[in-house]
Amino acid sequence: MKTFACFIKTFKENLRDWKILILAIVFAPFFIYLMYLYMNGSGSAAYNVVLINNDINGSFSTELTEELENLKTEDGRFVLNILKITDSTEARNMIKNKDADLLITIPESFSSSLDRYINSRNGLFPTVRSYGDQANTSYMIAASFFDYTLFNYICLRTGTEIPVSIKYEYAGRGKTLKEFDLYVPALFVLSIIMILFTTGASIVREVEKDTITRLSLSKVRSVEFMTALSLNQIILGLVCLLLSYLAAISIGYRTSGSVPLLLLVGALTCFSVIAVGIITSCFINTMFGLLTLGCFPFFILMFFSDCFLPLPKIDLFNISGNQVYLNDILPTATATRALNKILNYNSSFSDVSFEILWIMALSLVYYFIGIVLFRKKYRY
Amino acid sequence: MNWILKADALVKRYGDITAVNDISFEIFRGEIFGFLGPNGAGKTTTIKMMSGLLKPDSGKVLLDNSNSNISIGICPQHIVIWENLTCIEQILFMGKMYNLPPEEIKKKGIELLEALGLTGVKERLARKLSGGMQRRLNIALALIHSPDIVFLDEPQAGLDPQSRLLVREYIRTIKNKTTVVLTTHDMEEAEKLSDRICIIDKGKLLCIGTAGEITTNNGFEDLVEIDIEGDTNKEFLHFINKELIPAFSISDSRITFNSSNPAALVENILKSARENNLKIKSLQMRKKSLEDIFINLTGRSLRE
Repeated sequence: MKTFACFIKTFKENLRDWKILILAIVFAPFFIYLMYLYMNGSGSAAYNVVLINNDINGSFSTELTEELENLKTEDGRFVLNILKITDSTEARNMIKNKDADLLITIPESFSSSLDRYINSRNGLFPTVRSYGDQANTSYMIAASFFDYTLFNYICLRTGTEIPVSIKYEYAGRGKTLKEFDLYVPALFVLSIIMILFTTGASIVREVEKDTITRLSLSKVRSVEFMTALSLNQIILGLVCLLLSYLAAISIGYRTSGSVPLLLLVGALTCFSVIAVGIITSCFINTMFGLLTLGCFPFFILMFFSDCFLPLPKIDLFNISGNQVYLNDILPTATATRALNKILNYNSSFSDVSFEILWIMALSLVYYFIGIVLFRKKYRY
Repeated sequence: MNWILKADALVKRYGDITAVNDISFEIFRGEIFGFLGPNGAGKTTTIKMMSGLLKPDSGKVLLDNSNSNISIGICPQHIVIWENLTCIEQILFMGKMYNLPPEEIKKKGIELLEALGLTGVKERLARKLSGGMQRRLNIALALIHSPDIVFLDEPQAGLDPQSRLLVREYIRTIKNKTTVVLTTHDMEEAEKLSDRICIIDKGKLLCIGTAGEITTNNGFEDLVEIDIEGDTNKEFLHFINKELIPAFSISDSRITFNSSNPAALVENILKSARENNLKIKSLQMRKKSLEDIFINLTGRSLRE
């Protein structure tokens, strides 16, 4: 009865405090669209390549350029944006300024050397130069595409065969995963992390207005209040997750992963983020504090959960063959991994059972800490 | 009389500051207990300890043994309401938090809203209410569960005269069922409402009793003020000092003193004035007000 009354009250307050609610709900879908646009609206990044062709009238260099320009993914999207220029200084500046990922310089003797080799099977191969910033992962990817195209072209034109063949096989659903697809689970987790603010707001509002005193004087127990608050936030978290899912679907993301499993992991992740939100609110007394200091745990969850940055894996321990890494102490890191398995690799419940148990265990630990801190601070 | 709450040697320190220093008193069932003191005297700290919101460093708070289920209501001096709930929503919510049956919540809620003049705005969000309405809602939330004892910490601060009257009358109506502990800086209000008054300052209890008892027990006599036309002369002052009143104060041409029997003195004063060719412009005798007593006890220095 009291839990239900608290639930209804918190629900109404959340609806009426619409600014934070909108922020929480809209942030992740917005991020999904933003990420999609960043990836050129195609779901895969097109890499910017500047090309200096010193073999001006050479037919082979022209053909190679066309090959590069027409390089497409399996689903027909162009991979490389080729910009032809002549000034090498300008080209290098573009690399330094990250306006381009890769600079290719085709030598003047490219066509003549190749022609000579085809006719006489003799002579030196020309040196095609590839230039880029090693710290830029796009450079490495663009360079790989270029190498692949160049070798194939040379083999084709010279009739040479590489004495080994490569067969490309793809993980997951038997089709190529786009780069965007790999971000989607992280973006879903991000949508759930946003409820850290709404959870914090629900508690801090009571503290700031001192209504927590009214509650503590009444007969409602802190566990009942927290249960109501958590239920509210889980619903909100799942709404955020579903909106993010719809946003991803609307721009072409497809998954045959289990939706109930997605919701289960989502709900558990909500629970863990709520626990972090409770802990956070125990160190903050005002809404201003929440929106400033509260960003600290938010960014920790966002950046250390493998959401966007690839982090070095630091082994902690192994449980029944399941390796636990340092950043797995953040439940959102495990959640990102679990959602990736479910959405992109069609994993079943048994495939992600360890992750589910791990998130549950972490959530309970964080929730317990949150409740203890809350009761200690407010004597409630 | 039966006490409902007893403060026994309460002490609370914050670092080097002793906010409440060995305070003891009893609050009787069904009374309105005026709890007075200047800012920073320790009133709110004492109330927090009595309501169980703060643990004393030493001493204890005892509740009436005959009833182990004494319920407490508190109306803090700042407004404590849920801004995004309507008046009726928060009244109903608090009723549920106290495990009241739905019919009782509804009945009591309607009664409170009516009594505190909030019926017309019961569906309005609290943040859209005027300051006075919010303050009245603050009181309503403290009373929804008909507590055995309610602490009203400056409930009338910021209210207009009409609202003050409304609140005062409502407090009177509840006193039979609910013991009221009232803190206020309005001495007249305290005197009008309170059955007994307790004055504290710097964490110490200065006096306790009915307004009459406080006056008598603390030697507060009637106040006499005489305004002389022109300057007083030495002979007259000597006469007053030696023959009549050893302790008096003089400011410009006004002589002020306390006396338990002022009427007897006045005749002699008038006679002496005539003999000294002094003309008395005015002579006033009045009972000392609670404010006079309060200032006498707590001094004139400003508080933080």
